[in-house]
Amino acid sequence: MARRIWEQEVGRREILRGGVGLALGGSAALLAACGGSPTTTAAGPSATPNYPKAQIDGDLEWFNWTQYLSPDVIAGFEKQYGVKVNQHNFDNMQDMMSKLNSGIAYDITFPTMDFVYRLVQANALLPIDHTQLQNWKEVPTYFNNPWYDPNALYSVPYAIWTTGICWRNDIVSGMTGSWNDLWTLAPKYNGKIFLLDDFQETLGMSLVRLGLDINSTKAGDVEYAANEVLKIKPDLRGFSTDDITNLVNGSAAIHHAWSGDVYQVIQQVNNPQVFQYETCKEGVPTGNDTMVIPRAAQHPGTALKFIDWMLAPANATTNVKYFGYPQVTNTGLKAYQDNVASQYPFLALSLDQALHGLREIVPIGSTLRLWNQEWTKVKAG
Amino acid sequence: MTANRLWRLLLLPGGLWLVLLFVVPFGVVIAVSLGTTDILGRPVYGWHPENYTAVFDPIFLPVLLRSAVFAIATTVLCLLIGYPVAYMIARYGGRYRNLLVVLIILPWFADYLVRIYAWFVILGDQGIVNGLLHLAGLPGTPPIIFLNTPMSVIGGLVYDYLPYMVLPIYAALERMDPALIEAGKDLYGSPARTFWHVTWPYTLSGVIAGAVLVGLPAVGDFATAQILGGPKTYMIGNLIQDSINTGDWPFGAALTVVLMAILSLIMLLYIRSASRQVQALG
Repeated sequence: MARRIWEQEVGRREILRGGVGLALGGSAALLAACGGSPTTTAAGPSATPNYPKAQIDGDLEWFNWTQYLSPDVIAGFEKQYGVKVNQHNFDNMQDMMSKLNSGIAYDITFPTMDFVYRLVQANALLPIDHTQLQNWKEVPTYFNNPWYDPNALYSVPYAIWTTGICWRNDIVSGMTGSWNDLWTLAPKYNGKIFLLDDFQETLGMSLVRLGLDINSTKAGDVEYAANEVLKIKPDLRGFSTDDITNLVNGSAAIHHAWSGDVYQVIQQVNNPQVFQYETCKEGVPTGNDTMVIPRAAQHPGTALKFIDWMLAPANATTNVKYFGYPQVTNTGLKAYQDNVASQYPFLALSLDQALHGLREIVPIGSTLRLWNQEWTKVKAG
Repeated sequence: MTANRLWRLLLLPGGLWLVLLFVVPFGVVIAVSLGTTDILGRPVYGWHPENYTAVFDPIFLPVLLRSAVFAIATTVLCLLIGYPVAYMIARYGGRYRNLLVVLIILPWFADYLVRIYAWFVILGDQGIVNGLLHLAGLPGTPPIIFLNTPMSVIGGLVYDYLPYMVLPIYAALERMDPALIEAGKDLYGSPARTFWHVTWPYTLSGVIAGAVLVGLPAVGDFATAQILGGPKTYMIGNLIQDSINTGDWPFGAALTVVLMAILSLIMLLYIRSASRQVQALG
């Protein structure tokens, strides 16, 4: 997911687009939102679903994180079906949502689970008929009925990840597989520790460490978690989502990090053996991305074909080798085990583990305001 | 009368531009700032003045103060660096003047973010400067930490906005008749006194324009602090960006409106006092 892959090539892109793109795109979206009513909510949730057929009906307008899907797999699809895949990228989920909201007709996009949940609630997606997908049998049973999308009516799972701590064993000793490590080791390794610049990850992690709900809506809990982060702030080098850059260029010895990014780091450095990753016993934040067809799609048939193409065993294997995340198909998970986890056991990620992990759900409304305020306190303090 | 009408007509494109690309979007920002969002994060218009109450929470005060301090430091540094540069080009540039001005602007042909990222390579823990220091015999570990500090952010801002200071001062200096300086010297003014009583007042309008062009955008800048900053560099622009990034558009919009109100007020006061000063001296 982008919080990680967008920075694979370094944060250059991240901020490039995350920041400035957002400033520009944001105002455009504002205007769009002001001007016309968005394309969703055409019919009520009770309306008979209008299932697209898996047949090529034009070029594919494809909307994803950057470098989060193998170019070879895309090229293969273009060749197989004689269509063009027009690639568009977003840098974060809010960016994706505002573009969808402004009515741009993408045929396929890749939201994370909590955003799928919202899109499903708002009836903003086209339903997916599993009998149209020859490779649906590749999808693990759990994802036939995930929490965010009952009966998987609107989404097909893509990749899973965990959040944990990455560290360098040539500098750091004393890691114990606990979020407490960040607190106990902060004074010793001051100026070499980064936390993620992501309020859900960092406040959520702090809540979990305290034994509280990762999605707490209680002001007291969130404030407590924020104050705990403030305690180690003087020892931090910074808050950053650019975990790859910070680890690769040596400014971080300990980094609150996403599992897939650790693999990217290992591939980019000439001393891969010093990098380690741990998930923490108090709780492991996990999540997954999905593939969905927005209701405004002009070529839903091609999109469905593309989803099927992604699920095909050979393509899943190629894809996993490229992006280093476990793609949630039977073959994709095996490819991850064979190509990534077998070499770096600390990156092993079983489906079971993912299903029992903690889900971060983006807060909305007054809870969002509360989290933002506490996060500002952390960052401004 | 007809000339008058012509001028009014000529105002149309510019006026239309302002209305379409500033007044209307800003109206939308105000509308969003008073609304809420739906489950998809789309603005829902309404009357929620509490978005503004949230802006005046004292926890945001340090952010505002920090932005002001960074912007003032940036403006002062730009002036200290930019004035001599403009002066040298205007007075001693000779036939290379235009070339030198182009050279000042030239780096701005490259994307702003690419240039900012160059500082990573130069100032990083394993960057060029630390590498040179290491070669010069200074112990390589621990490296000198340049990045992720307030200094790196202010340095980045100065680097970003320097031409906006140089160009107006250069324009003012270029307009100035060198004979005025000669006259000052003929009247037994020391170089310092001549500068202070002749050159400086003459270029004050350029300095003010430069200060406004540098200071105001610097207050609202977010990318520099985001890329070069660390735990102690959170600015108001970052706060607005984080609000939008996390989906709290109404709060981000309310912050924007308040920030713009404050900046406009400062600018009005500044321009008024400055124009009086210029008139008095002029």
